[in-house]
Amino acid sequence: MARDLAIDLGTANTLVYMKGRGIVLNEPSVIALNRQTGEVLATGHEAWHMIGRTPGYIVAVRPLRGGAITDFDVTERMIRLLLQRVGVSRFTRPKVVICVPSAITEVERRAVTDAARRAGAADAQLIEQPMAAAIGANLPIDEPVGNMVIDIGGGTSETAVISLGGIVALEAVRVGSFDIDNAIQNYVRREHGIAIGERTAEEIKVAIGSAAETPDEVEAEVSGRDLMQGLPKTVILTPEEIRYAIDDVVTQIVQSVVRCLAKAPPELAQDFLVRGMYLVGGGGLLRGLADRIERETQVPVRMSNMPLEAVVLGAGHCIENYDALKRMFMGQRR
Amino acid sequence: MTVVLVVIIVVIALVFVVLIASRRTPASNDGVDDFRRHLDALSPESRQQVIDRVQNREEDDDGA
Repeated sequence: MARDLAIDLGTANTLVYMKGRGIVLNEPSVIALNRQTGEVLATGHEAWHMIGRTPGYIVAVRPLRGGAITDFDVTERMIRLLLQRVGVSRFTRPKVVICVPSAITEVERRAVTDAARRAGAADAQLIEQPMAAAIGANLPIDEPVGNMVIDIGGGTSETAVISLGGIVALEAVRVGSFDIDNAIQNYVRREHGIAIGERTAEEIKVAIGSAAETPDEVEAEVSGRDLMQGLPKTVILTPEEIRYAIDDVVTQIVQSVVRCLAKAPPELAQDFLVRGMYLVGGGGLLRGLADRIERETQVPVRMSNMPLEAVVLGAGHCIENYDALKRMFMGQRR
Repeated sequence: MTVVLVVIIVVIALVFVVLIASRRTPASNDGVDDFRRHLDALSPESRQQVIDRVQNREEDDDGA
């Protein structure tokens, strides 16, 4: 008998929670394929190390963009391999709960559930990421009080107000930490005339990226390919430059939080001033982001204890209490 | 014989009608119970088990 699973199928990382066991897999959502034969060569960490470093016949891709499946076939194969790795076989078909962005379209919703069913799931249910995040962050969402959660992922940023086990207000934008990496890549290309890969851009973000001024800022030495001469070149980047480069993306994220606050009913809005908002997701780890949101909304912002795992923990709780929490699933609400 | 047959048919029909009626008019507290179960399953105490499981596993991994 297969153990049921909860999957956080993120643009950046995929996490799998197994009923009764906990998190059993946490890997980048990357798959490496042989271009000629279509054969899968690697997934997860192994495939991530190949990004931008492959010979012509190999392609390492992220099959999800903006939280949506961009390549159905590749996603299905990635899910199948993930399920195999956690022990799912043709004869053991588990129930699966998958976390998806709340702004997902009907077509995308169908694509995800079909991919999971074809990959070996007996039943696939979907849950909105901010709801799963609020459950996983252990917020008191069973009480009649306003709980606000901001989930900043690789491809989407979602803010939700939750009370009495349901979403009261929601705001989602298809902008996330990959857009921050892209903004850094474009800035370095435009201002310094060098091309850098997406992994280098991510390393710059982690090393010196920030959304607001922070103490102990340092500069970073970055190497890439000179666009004029085609030769390797090194430049020095400052934190101010990176803040300028990513400001448009950060502003879009902050504005979506503001819009969500504006949608919240007044009775719940006053709760936020006391309880604050909770930041989850890898994008929330950007230095100074919590301070910037706090400054622009005048509402305290707190970091969740397990920001990277909160979403899959929430979905894991739903799989542990499948019957009692059925109404949490998209398309099951009455 | 015919009377017995008619009685049986009537009884079966009555049982059928009662069954359908009971399905169409759920007990008034069904919704309340269902919602209470839903909220109980979302209580922090209920969720603690999942969080403890992950934290214990992380501690085990760190220790190994």
